[in-house]
Amino acid sequence: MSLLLAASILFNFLFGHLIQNTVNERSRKKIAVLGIVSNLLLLGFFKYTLFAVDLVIDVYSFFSNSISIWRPEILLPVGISFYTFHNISYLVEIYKKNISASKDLVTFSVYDIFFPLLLAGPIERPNSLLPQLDSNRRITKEGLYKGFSIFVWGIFLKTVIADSLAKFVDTSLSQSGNLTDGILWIIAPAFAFQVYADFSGYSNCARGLAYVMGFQLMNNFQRPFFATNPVQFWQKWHISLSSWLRDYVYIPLGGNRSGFLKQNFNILIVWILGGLWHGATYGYLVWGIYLGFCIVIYNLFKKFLIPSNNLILEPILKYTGLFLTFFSFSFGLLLFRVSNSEVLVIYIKNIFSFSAETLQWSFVILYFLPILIFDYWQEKLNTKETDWRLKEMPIIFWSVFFFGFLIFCLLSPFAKQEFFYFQF
Amino acid sequence: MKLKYFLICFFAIIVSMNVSYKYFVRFTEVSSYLWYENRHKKLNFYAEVLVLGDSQLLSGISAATIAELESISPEKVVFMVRPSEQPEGMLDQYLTYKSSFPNLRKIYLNLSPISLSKNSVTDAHKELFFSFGTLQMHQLTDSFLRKAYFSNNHDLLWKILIEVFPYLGLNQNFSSLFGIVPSSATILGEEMNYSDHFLQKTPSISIIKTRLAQNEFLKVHFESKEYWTWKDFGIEHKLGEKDSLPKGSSLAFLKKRNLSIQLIEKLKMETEADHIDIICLDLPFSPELESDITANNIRFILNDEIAKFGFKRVIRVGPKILDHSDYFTDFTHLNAKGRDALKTYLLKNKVKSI
Repeated sequence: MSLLLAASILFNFLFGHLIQNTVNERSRKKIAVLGIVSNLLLLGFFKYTLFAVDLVIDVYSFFSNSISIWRPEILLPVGISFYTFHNISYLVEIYKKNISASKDLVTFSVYDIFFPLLLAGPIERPNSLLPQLDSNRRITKEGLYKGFSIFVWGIFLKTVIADSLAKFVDTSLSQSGNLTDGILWIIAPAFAFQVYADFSGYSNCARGLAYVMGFQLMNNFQRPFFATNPVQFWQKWHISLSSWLRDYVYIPLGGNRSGFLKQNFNILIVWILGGLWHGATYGYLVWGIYLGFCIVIYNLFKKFLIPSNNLILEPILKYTGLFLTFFSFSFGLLLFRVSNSEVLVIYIKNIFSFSAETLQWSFVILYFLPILIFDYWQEKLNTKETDWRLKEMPIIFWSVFFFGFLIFCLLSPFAKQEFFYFQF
Repeated sequence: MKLKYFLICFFAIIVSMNVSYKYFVRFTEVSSYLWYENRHKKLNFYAEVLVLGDSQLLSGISAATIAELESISPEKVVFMVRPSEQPEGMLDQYLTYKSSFPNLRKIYLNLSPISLSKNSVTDAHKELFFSFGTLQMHQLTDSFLRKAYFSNNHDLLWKILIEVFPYLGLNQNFSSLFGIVPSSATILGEEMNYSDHFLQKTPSISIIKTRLAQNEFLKVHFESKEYWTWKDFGIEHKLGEKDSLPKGSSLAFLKKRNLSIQLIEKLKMETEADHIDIICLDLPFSPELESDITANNIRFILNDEIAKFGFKRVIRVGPKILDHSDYFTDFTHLNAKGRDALKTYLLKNKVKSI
């Protein structure tokens, strides 16, 4: 695997220079395409070969033909989804002449596999990270404290909130046949907060570490659960991936420049790819299609049904949008756990049923509170990234740190629970 | 942003953890609480006999019985008995407390298949040591203790962190209660009526209430007694006929742990140098477990190992002496009736054995 990583680094480093040094525009394009396709093939081989084999088997089975295909044992290299996207954006940006090819192989290697973000992002852009690697960075006292504050918040999110919710979500969804009526209205939000706490926790740890070392990584989450529509949600959730897909897939496909129909078709393509990026299973494929349709439906509503600039309707639409955006995302996550159509039917029936017994689980909301309070505070401050206002109001961070550390030591389940996004 | 905030905050955290620790310990499960109590025991400077062992000894014998065997007053017998005790714990306690007892002349320790084999109790002991034991220099300088407790730097770092932030030592007791659903069928000693088929909440409040009541009971109990019938919180349990032992249960004790033997040898060497005799107590388990142990040839292996240590005396109470389930509270612990029967036997055979 290390050899593969080294080969990938060397290949992209050389191709970067090749694109830069080629004068003929057509040749440049060919080299760039070859580089991008090679990266996609590498990712495709490791991540999608087995899915493709299963797909062929299933299609044959559907037409009542049995087929026997050798199913190879393929291990997914750590972080391949993340560093492949790093490499593609590197080659594209050189091709577009937005950046120069890195002169130093070591610098490029660090960009490609920068350890805080290798396993689960953010998917950093070369325009931002490479100049930082080339410059004379200074480790400042402010950077240290800021990094520390972001890092410990990430640890708290992961160990205290995400891991606690994970056990609840896993246990409850593993017994789909015995779910209390309507309990998915609690499990699905718990799943959403689990993934949020887990993934934003990791991103915070990565960004905190980077700050300590004098780097600034892009913010990956900006209070997504305060989004009032799906488009806004994806501008606030896994920002590095959604902006990557926007810049390198959606816009090259034509974006919104070719009419409403084509725009929404492009959106569907982007989200199918987004779903498959997360994993090569039918579940992720369906999830991607579902997310795409959520955005398409929103676009249809916006274009044909929602009146613009209506002062009376605006607050109602805002809170309805907030509710619908959150729950459409939360229920969508359940698709990860749908193993067959029977489970899907059980889930749908559960959502449209109610039992008073479900109310006894409403205490689960208490586990969301730290995130909700913090994000509400950040929303009020209108911050661009996790900001504890260390200079202006140090007492807030240190008070939270004091109580948070006591809670962490006493209650955090230290049994190792892997980061949710490591699987991608 | 100044360094002073950082330092003040950490200082405040450490102080508040240390101040509030004793209040939280009251909500821990029984073994944890007994380790905590053992650590805070008042030490009698004039003690002549030290008793080391696990819950089998805690449940099976009293200081008064030892005192009668030794013809000394019970105050001169110090009970440093802890649940899930292992040879490393015995050696560690001896090295820790020997300077506190200048008149010490004899150690009673109990050895059983549990203490000389590699089994789940070995891991439980290590966890209890990390959470409630004290970090001492000899644990690092003695190669056997270092191997038992700090086989890697991560373990040592974890223990240091627990010493600095004692809440970390309480984590295992509390984190499972904080879970929305129980993570396993057992929450540190609390048997749960847990089913995979129905979603259940962690009964945190009832567990906390039970633990508090049990520990309050123990606190009052240990004010006047040093022994305690295992799991007796006012109502004594008897091993019922319905309690059946699965065949081959004792196979868990089959894997000999060489480190345990080395640790006992080291303890013997240390005590010999200090002119202290060791009396080994080999107490029986319930007849059902003893039959299983005999069937798997484990008793023979244990006797062989104990004989090799060359203790001053070995008091072996064979299974024939306590041959009825009525004497036991479960498969490993004697109840009050069993304790009385053992006392009668030991005193009757005092001259023969001592």
